[in-house]
Amino acid sequence: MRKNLRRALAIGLVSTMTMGTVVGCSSNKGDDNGGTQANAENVQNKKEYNGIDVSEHVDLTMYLLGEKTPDFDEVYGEINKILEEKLNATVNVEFLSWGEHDTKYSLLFSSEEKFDLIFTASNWAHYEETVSLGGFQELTEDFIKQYAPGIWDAVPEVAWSQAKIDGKVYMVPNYQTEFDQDILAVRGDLLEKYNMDGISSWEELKEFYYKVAENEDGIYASNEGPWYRYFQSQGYSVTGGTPRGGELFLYNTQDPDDLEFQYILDWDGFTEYCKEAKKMADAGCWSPDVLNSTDERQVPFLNGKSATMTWNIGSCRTYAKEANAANPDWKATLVDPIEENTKKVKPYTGNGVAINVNSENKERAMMVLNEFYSNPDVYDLSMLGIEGKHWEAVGEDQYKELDESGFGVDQNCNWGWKNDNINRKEVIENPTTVDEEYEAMDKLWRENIKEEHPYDGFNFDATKVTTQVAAVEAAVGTYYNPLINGLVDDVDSSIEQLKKALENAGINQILDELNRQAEEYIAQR
Amino acid sequence: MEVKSNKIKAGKDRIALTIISYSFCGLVALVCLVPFIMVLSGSFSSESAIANNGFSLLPQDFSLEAYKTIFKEPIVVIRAYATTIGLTLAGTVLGLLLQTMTAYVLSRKDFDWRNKFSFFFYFTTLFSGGLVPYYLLITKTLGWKNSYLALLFPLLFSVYNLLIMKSYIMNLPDSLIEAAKIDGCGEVRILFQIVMPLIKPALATVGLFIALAYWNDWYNAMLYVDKEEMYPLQYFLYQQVNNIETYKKMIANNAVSSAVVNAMSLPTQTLKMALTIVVTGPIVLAYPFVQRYFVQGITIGAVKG
Amino acid sequence: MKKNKKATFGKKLRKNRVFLLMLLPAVLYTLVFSYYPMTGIVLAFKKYSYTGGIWGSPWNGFDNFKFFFQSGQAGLVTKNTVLYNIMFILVGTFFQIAVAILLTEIRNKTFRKTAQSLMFLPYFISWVIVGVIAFNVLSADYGFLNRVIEAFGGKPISFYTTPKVWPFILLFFNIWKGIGYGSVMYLAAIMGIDTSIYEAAAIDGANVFQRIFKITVPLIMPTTIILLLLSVGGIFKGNFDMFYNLVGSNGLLYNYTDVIDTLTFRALISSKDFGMAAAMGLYQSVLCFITVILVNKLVGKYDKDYTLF
Repeated sequence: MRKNLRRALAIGLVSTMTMGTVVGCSSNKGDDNGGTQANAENVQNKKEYNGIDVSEHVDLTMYLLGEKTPDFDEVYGEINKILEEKLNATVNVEFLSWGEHDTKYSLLFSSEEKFDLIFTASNWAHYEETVSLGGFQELTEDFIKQYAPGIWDAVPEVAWSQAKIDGKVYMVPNYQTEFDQDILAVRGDLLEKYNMDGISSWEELKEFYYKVAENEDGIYASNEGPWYRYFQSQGYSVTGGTPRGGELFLYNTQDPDDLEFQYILDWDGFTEYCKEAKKMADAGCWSPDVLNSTDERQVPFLNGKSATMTWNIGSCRTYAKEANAANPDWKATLVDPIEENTKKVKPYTGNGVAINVNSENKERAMMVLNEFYSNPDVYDLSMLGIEGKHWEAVGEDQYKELDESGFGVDQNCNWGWKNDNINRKEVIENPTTVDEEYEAMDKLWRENIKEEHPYDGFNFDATKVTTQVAAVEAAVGTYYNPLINGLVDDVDSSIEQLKKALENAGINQILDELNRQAEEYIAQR
Repeated sequence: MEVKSNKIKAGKDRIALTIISYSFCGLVALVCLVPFIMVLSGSFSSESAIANNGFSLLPQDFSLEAYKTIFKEPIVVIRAYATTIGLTLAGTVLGLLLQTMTAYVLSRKDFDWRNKFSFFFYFTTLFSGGLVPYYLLITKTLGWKNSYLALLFPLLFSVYNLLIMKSYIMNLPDSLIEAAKIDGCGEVRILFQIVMPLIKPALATVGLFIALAYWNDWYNAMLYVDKEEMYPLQYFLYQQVNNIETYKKMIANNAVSSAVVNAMSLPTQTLKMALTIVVTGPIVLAYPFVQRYFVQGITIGAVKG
Repeated sequence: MKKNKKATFGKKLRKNRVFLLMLLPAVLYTLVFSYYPMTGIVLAFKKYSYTGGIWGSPWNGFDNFKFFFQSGQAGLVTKNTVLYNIMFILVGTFFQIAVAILLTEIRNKTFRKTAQSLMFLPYFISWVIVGVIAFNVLSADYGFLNRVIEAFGGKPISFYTTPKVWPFILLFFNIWKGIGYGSVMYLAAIMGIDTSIYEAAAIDGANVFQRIFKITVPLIMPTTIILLLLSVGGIFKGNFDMFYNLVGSNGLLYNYTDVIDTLTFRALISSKDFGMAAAMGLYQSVLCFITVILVNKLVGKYDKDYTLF
């Protein structure tokens, strides 16, 4: 009761206090070495953060995914100094390594551990499943505004919408503009050889693939069938939360008025694509072993076994540079195979942080997250490491890398609170042509972000059709992977069989439920 | 113990059998050896050579890079070896004792409930409650999180080994135990002084199986241990190898942001191979010491007399 | 009558008290580490949630089993699982016994020891690594096997798009990986045979093959049958690691390679539904249980000593 009253009183002060604390902190940080020690602060009786009483000291635990870097503890020691001082809390970070998070993530909740914060992500890092099993604390609008005003200011409306499951938010999505579409790193020497000045459309992509398959010995055109390139070039996007990573139900993201879901097996485009893919596979555009390859994506390209590498723009830049460094005559270059379309931003829920429903300090956890997300000092520490040791500032919003061996950028599972507003960009000295292409493309894309489609913020809640979803996931693999990689003998009959299998598994009930939820969602907007 | 062979004359049948056994065993051994050689030479190859040509019988572009990575901090590896060896020794001794004692009772025909108890044990191999209740048992009920007990106990008793042991003991003639009982021996004494010396090959076999189970265990470490200094050897291999699984899932998933994929450190092919060698090397070398129990028979007649 | 029974029970208790005492540690262990967690089976009939836990979550009847039968693959994968296991058990046992018997016939100690050690090597190579090796051997582009075929003037085979060859590939790797481990058990059984029996046979003029088939094979029968029965207890359980690492997500091969465990894995990959996972485990366990009871009865008709329980 008393607590609530105090909170209510505090709300009025929030806006003024926020500024005060942020400024106060920055100046404190400057004379850190001088002696403003955390212990000294503890003596003080009353402590407030954004007007909320934080007199009681708490130790929080946060689970992150990935591997610990060598200087991690040192960096988080610095972060904890700030947290201690500002909100009388420290955070202890535990890691769930890549190999074990699949098993251990759910066990943390099953055994009702009392940790506070945990990394999560829609689709690939347990968000939907943990929500449906009741593992995360719901984050109401009031809760966020009160304890994490910095987050509320930074995170766009559509991101909250994407995080909603059955109308409720359970995670703080990260705020970074990443694009949904992959590009190609291509061997420039081969483009020249075939008199092509780039690959900017589906037609050109096909042309290049066939030419490589026909004329080049020992080089495949691609690592896999270009299914995403195809449906994206038609303006379609996957539907969040639906089975098979959303690939079975597409929607026309380029046309905000088109509110129909396209079930791919009822779509002529799918048949058309599969036939083309079969032609490509038969021509030898990619290896017949694609479904079993254990290579990393970049390996065939870097070893000269593939003429292209399809990946996100950042990775394409990295590996195109690497390829050029080793083989200057390849003239690897970046191309956008869907140049004419405006660009869709990836769902913000691709990274995020949630609060454990069993946490004993949910409010403080949210405040700590607020610091990570919106306090430039904490943010820079968590993203880049210690200034002067790992990086140095270049102007207000850029940095230069000094030593990434101890605390590499983006290596510390800090993606959950990425915030474009305060994220420093790296300054690259001696940019190569690939770097220039990257910068140009990135700039072009950012100017060319597509109009928002209502479904961009929609996320399907599968809890009412779990049986059907599991059955569909079980049934789809037999034909789907071979079809999109053109490896079946008879496209039409395989599609027919897949269609029948999915029907029996209950795809129609999923579609009905999807339409129902979508209608509801549209009505609420 | 070459008694039997000395007494058998080298007839045609003997020659035929010799040819068959040498060629068959030789061939099987070869087929088993070749992939291991591929792993071994893979571990000494450079990564780019492997990516370009696949594996081969001889190292390509000889490199110690993978081993350098593993032994970057030798103390970590040595500690892991010590943990594994300690667990394996303790587990094998305790497990063997427990299983032999139980198997002995179940093998005794004058034990009234032997079938009921056999069923009681066997039933557990058919049904299991899954990971969640087991995890709760270890971490909550027993409170063994970050305790060596959590690495020791789950593997201590295996019904599979129990029943194998029981079948070996049952091969002993009943008269042997009868005689001992008439001599006034207690059950414990019969077990330790009469039965055990006679089932050395069985003890060696089951002991080997228990030891291998401990040696190869990484799963319990993954679940119950967070402290690096407590990790057994296999855990390092599997942590690396399991990454591959996650990685494959992630690059197939359009929702994953590029930063995340970049952060994943995937073991190189050569590192995987080198880890395999580091992890299996010692036990492969230790195997011949166990072997001597498999190359000599037992003459019960002598004991009986 | 009742009193009588009690009396006999008490008498039996007294008579068997040393045995019972010797069993006590194992019984306690099994109760704590096997039977207590077995309560988790109830999850198969529950809609599990973290907040409710194992006991507090609501019941949902047989809903958790539905997805399996609705997937249209239930029959196929169950059949595959059983057929693969039968094949593995029969062929595997044959090879393991053959190796064990022939090894004991080798007189050169060094050769015998070396061969036996080498056969153990595959056991140490984890399935993930086996998957990598298999890909290197079988791939269409630079696969070792295809290079050999080409060298002999044959046409390369695209193994990963030819489902029919997979039962043989899987059988090969299964036998290969288990041969050293499996043969040790038979080796130990052979070593347990009283050598005086062989001597008697030799004096009677039996040739070596007679000796093998008339003495060795019958005398290792108890071990063989126990091991067979133990394998039968897992006949509806697929070796997930093997199938997953060799076949992966290659749908082209599923008709020939999909087993219950790989199907369940795929079905639950996005939802991690504990109830459904428990349901599938129970489905397999019940089928195994029924099979074992039947087989055990059959064995009991043949010889009571060979039964498991």
